[in-house]
Amino acid sequence: MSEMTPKSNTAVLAGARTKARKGGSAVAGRRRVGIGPKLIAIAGVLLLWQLLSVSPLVDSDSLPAPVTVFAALLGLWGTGAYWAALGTTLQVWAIGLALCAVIGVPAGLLIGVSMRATQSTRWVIDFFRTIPTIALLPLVLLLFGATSRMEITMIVLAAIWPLLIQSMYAAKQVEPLLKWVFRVFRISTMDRLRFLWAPSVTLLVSTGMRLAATMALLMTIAAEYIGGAPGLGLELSHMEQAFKRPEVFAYAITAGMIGLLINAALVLFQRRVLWWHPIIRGERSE
Amino acid sequence: MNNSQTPLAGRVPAQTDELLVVENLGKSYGDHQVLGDISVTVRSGEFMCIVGPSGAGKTTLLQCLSGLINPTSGTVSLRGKVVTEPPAEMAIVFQDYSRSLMPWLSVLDNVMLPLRSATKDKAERKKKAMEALIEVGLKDHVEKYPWQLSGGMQQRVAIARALAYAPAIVLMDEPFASVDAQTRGDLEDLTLKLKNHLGITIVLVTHDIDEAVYLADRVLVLGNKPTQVVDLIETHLGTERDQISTKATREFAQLRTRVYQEIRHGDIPSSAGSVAAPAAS
Repeated sequence: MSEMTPKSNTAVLAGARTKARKGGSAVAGRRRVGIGPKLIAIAGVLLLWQLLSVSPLVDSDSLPAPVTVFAALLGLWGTGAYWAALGTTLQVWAIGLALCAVIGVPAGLLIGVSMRATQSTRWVIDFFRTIPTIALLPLVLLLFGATSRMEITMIVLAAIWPLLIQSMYAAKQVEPLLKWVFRVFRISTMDRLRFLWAPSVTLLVSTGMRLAATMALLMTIAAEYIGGAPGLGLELSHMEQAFKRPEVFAYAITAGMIGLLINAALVLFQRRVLWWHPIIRGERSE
Repeated sequence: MNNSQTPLAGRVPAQTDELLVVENLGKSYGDHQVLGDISVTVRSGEFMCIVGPSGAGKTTLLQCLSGLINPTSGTVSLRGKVVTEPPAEMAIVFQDYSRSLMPWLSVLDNVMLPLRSATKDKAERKKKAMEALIEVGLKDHVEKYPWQLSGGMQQRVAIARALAYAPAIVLMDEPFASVDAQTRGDLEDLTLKLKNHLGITIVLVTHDIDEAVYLADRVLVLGNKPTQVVDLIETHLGTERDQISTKATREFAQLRTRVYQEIRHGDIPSSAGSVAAPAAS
């Protein structure tokens, strides 16, 4: 009996914990908009598109009907070129985004920690992040040609700013009272990074990642489309030149779906890692 | 300054049980002087309450005592060593429990975290943390997260965290100011019990005169702008105290009146002094 007690006790406690967590999502399930209304919204857009494409307002050659576009998409799924382009785009996107994170997050955190550094760099950062990166494409293209290096450079130039700025804010959001708690209890630097800084900055840094991920994807496809590097953007450009309108739309839809999936994955990550966070908890219960 | 008030108390324990010695402590921010010239000695094993009008720099004083900020003049020393950074023998309980606990760690992990550097063995850390949590009555809530608990329970977690750290002295910065009256009474009694039980020294800052008198062995009354010592009063209310009966005694009422007058006038009132003095001696 006495052997059983601690075991059953922890089981109960573990149960209480999952219960508490499940309780949160049960509340969310009751109030959050389910998949149904979302599908209705998509159906509405498709219907509007269909009506518009058959209406006399637009030329049916320039705006193909959704049915035609989806037929084209299905056709593309059977080709090797489509999947190769998709793979190339995703690979370049991932490398570019990773580079943004490796540079942007530590730099942002370091700048954010110091008030002086924040104020000194404000003009420089505001200047660079306001430059329309696409305007730099000819320059970068001249340097690297239509290569993945050109694309990655463009991605970093475009997508590093939201990460840098969110990381700067993240560093400032670390609770000052907790910093004191860590000092009073003489907690080591490693533990401070692990138990104070990492959890404290995750929300804003991951939000920066969401912004940067979308921006990086846009820039990847733009660099392929305009700069001619291989990938979805180049395929789209080829289809356009061949006057294959449904295929053009099919590639555009592909890009949209990638963006949707990436964002959904990052939101899922945030919910998983930050389930304790007041904002995530609030999102769930509202 | 306060030595003139309690000459005997100041002299007798000088060699034996001086734990925290504050000498001519001053703190200024630019031209703005927050702390004047503060000198006081905290004895080992005593419960000292620091009370003063709001905005009297009580929290600044506490931060100087703990080495979180450095004073502009004077020194704080703990067991003869000058405090320049938070000493290992000191723990703090802050007022704002919702911000001083980590929402991403369970109650148990919150209490265990400060023990990581001193106690390498995880089982040992857990044992110490559990002992502290049992002491504050949270045995059944260790796997929960702070935000799943009531305010009073969260403050108990913060108290347990301080206890598990096994300090010689615990500083408390208005620890019960953010909880309801009933909970406040419970936490006050818990703190008294812990102090008697574990023989730790407690310095508690509060703006609540009743709380200060009820808890303290000695009440340090502070005056305003800049903050300075007005009086240091021995309460002589004994170790066993009760929210109802202790607060109903004549001694309690006299002490309360005396502290109230001193805070209102920022000085020891000459008329009240003759009435209040016998109660203190």
